[in-house]
Amino acid sequence: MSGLTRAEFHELYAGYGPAARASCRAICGNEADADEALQEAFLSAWRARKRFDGRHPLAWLQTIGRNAALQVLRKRRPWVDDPFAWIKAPDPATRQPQHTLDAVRLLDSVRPEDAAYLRLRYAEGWRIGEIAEHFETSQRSVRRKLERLEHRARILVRAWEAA
Amino acid sequence: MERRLTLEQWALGKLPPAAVAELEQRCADDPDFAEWAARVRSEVTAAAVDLPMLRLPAEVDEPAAASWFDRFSPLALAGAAGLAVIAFTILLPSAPPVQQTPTWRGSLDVQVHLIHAGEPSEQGAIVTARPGDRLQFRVAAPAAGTVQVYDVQADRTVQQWLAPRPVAAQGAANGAVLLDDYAGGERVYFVWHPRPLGTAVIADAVERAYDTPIADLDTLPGLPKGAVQRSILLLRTTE
Repeated sequence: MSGLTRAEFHELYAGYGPAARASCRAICGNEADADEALQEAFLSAWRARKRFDGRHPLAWLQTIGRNAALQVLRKRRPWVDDPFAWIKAPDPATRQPQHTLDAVRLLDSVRPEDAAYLRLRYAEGWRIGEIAEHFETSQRSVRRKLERLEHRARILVRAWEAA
Repeated sequence: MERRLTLEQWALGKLPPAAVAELEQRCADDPDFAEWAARVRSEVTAAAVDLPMLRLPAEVDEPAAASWFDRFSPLALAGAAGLAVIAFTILLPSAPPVQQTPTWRGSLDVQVHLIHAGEPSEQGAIVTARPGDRLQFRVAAPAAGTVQVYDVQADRTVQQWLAPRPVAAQGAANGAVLLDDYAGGERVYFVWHPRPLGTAVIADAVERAYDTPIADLDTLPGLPKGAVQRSILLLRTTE
């Protein structure tokens, strides 16, 4: 596959792009950032095409897409606009501006991968196994990470409720 | 256990008929599985609508980091404790590429590239490499201090990949390693601290987490106060 032509690469994009785009959307939480990640992912794939052996194109593209989506999280912090699309939120009727700041601060303090885990699990409804598969890690690792993140979010919500 | 990748391939129409028949039967027998498959299909189908046009450069662009590669001159270091020899290269670029990536609060800004057959590729939290590949890293310092890089193998052997290097505020430390054929997984820890942190400090931290497999130990516990760290998981493949 070292000789992937432009035409072949465009075919690869047409054939597998939707799945990569769906994963990028799930991680980024909005279409604009997801499409930026998608473009960056396929640009990286184009540059790395000589290394691709042609055997598992979707797995290859999803790995590159995941990394591109995490880069977008790193740069853009999309939760700034709506952190409660990323972590469980207090009742909207009781939500205060400080809650939004606290939630943003919490998401800012974790790694992009961790923020992605939160989003995939609680906003997108991905299974633990799906997240583990997508991030090439163990289900145990995902569970433990989510438990720690949830614990921090719970402390925050309790503080809001006590205020 | 079914994989999301399989369901995505199904949604893309990339599975052979026999595999599709099997999945359809599974959906008929298992409502929970059917619900999952339907969700994935819905996500992929929605993403196929108005798929943006792909813009490729007119000529193949080399990544900015390529300029680092010409400056490498490998140095051989003796292996430790009966391990395979690792060739270790320290890069001292005169003009590293300007990076706009912000330092992440509570974590370290690290860029990792894997060079296989002369081709570089930027890596994420999990790196799959082949023996003989070269791993390059760049660690941006959050403040003046030292940057050090340690490798911890699955058998908990600690190796120093980058000795404590003083860095100025806004500075960065670069390094590279030629990867051997160690079969187990290993974690590479990038650590910043105001003071140098020697191998003993890292070994103590690894020992403290004795009940956690290295694959799951993404941060080292109990490092001296003020330490900022990030790690990657390094796996080998022979494919």
